[in-house]
Amino acid sequence: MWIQDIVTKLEMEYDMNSKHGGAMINYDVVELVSAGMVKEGDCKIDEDGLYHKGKLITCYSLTDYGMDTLCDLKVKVGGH
Amino acid sequence: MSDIETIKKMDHKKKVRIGLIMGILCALYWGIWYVPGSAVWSMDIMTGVYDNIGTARPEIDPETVHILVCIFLTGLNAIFCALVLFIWNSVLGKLPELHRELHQVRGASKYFMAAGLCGACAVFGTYLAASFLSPGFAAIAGLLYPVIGTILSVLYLKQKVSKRGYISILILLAGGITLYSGSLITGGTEGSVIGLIGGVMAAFGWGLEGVCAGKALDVCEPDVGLHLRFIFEALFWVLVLGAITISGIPILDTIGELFDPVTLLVFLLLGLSFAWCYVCWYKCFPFLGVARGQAVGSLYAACAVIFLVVFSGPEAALGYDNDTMLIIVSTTILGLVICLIGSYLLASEDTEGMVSLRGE
Repeated sequence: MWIQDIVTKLEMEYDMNSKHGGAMINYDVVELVSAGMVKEGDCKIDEDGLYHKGKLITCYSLTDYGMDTLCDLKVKVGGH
Repeated sequence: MSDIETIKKMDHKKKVRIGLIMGILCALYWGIWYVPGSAVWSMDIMTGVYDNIGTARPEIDPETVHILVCIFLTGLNAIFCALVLFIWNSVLGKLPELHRELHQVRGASKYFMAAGLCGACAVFGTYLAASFLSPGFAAIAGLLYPVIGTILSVLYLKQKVSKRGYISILILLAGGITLYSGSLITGGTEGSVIGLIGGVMAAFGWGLEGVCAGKALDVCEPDVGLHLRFIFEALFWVLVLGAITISGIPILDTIGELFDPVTLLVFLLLGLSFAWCYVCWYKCFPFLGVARGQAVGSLYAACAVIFLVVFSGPEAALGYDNDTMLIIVSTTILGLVICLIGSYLLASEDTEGMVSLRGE
């Protein structure tokens, strides 16, 4: 999933519809990459202004470790 | 290399740079914490505790009274940090996230509870070591925490550390030990088992705290997680202080001194410096990993010396007199240089192969 789609969905989920909120979500995704739960895929320059015009935008996907952590959290947190 | 590859590389370097900046800020705030941390001991709120307990319970030996005073200071330290972070997270609009993480015990808050208890052990141990032995010994003992944290982060969190990373950590440790070796050689180490135990508590406490927090920080917001850690530590010390008061020891009788503006300011500075040190510390972990983050944070030893020299003067900060000036000043300067070398090695490492901190 591309970063602009992740930010849009999470802004709605957590009522963080602001520039600051979007930046925080981006930071959280970066943290998940560092933690090894999410990996970076395709990249492109945001020529259409989908997220940050002229900047690099990235497509992310879950790693195996991320999927395992998600399943573990579903049990602990009781999500759907 | 294509434009996109170049931008990706720059992006990764930017992230590592942010992590290093956060680590250095952590060291600066941690170092400056020693200034109010030293000043507070001569204030009425602290000296009054000795007098009150000595009057009300003369049968308690001076060493035990001293331990009780350390408990009092550690508790107030945690309470003021939790208060500062409440203001911080309120302004940033993160209180709903605090509520959410608090209630996810199995997924999050139990790890921050553990981190809070480990941190309580570390801070209490630091105050014990500093007051029973010397601030120099306490600082050196605290410096050993990256060793504990590195071993556990590699074994338990499965994080990877490069050979250069290990070497940098060892150099930073050597620098920190050299920094304070002059004080230890020239005196101030008349034995105290309690001080030695405090030193061990500091090292293990901070090392374990990094690992516990690192486990939860994978899925939690750092500022909120840190706030939870201090809330749990503050609650722990409130219970301990309450139990001590109920047992008839007047440990809280000087609490009214907090209404004195100067006393309140000093404790706010304690809370601000320590809380922001932790904010930066937790923020650097996702970008650098626990091992390298703790290693950069260990520059606090050098920062503490510099700030204490600036605010207290070199003689008071380094504890030398005419006879010991040469050895103490020279080991201090040598230690600072070694620390800078270790930091440079860490900061200049090519980390392109470490986009993820976790081994494959």
